[in-house]
Amino acid sequence: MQEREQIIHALLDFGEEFLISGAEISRVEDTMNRIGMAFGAQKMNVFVITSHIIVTISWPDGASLTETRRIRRDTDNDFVKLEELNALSRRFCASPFSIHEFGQRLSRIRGIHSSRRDVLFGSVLVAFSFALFFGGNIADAVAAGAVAVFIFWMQTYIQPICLNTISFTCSASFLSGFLISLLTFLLPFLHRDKILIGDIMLLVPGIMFTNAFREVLLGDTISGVLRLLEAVLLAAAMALGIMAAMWLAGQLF
Amino acid sequence: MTKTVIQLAAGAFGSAGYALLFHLRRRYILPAMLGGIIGWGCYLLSAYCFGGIFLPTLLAGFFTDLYAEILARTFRAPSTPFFITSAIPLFPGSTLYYCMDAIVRNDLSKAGSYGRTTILYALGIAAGMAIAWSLCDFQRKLAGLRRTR
Repeated sequence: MQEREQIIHALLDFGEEFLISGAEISRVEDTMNRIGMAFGAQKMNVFVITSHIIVTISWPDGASLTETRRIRRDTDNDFVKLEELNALSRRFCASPFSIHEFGQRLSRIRGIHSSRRDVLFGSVLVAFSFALFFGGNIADAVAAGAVAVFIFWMQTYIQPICLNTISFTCSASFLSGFLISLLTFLLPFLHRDKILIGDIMLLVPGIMFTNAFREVLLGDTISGVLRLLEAVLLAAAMALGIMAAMWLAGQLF
Repeated sequence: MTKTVIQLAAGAFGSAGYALLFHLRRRYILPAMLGGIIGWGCYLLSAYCFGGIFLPTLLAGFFTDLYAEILARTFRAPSTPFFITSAIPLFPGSTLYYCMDAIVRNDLSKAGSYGRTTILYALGIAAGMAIAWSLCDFQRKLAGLRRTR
């Protein structure tokens, strides 16, 4: 009995990690079903939405076990983790190993994180490239890259103490919008629109929109609508922050 | 011409930036950059041929997703990471900004026009991706059926 409880816990841990890493709902459900069957279940019932997982495992002796998991963490796309979890499920379904080993491999994968240096460099590269992409000059791109460092700093230190992602996005957009307006006021040769657009690409919930459409297309309407609503709220929060900064800058400078 | 080259190169580096942000494996970064070039190249080419916004973005979304599916099968990995990093240059950051700017300046007709353009971009990418994704899923299921027979 104890082993069965371990299995359902490991399965929920796997599902949560897979979902948070950026897997689609249908992929999480399908993979959890397959792993459960490979553990020896006779029937699996898995229901996943962006904030919740419910699993019922029916065993060949007629016993069944149900457990739920509330997901409180926001999606934190980590594609190395996603790929490793996918590979773990493939390997396990091809030739199942013990629950102990499954748990060990899972906790090793859970320890994978991108380095802060990569995230910082990625943020600067995105802002720099898109400022150029949308018609800015090199000076605008460098300024956008510098503001990206400020956004990275806020993501590292301010986001954990913010109420939620929406309030963080609104405040980060406001502060970076104001900083860019101040920068272009002090250095008039810079173009405010190009710098702001470069940095908006870091805050815009474009990926969430794409995933929302993907979920709806895959038949997971509830999750699709949840993600879409979240993306619209985030975009509105971002717009509100930036518009407030532009308005304030217009009044001050 | 110079503008196009700068845009394609900047789009590729933007994709690489997102690949770093989302912890894509190092060996996939070059394919992701190529994906950024393919996506934006398709958009520019079809915008030149057909004009408008919706159809070019739809075609760009379609070919980007097709490219991501090919990469996913080549590397035996999920396609989402490849699609997301390749589609980044198509996201309508600039029209979204100009829409907000017009709202602040109280120019509501311009705000409406930029807002509509932003939505058209988003819908175009989603529709193109949806068509490619459905076709690939259909092909996968057909292959599965053939294997079980």
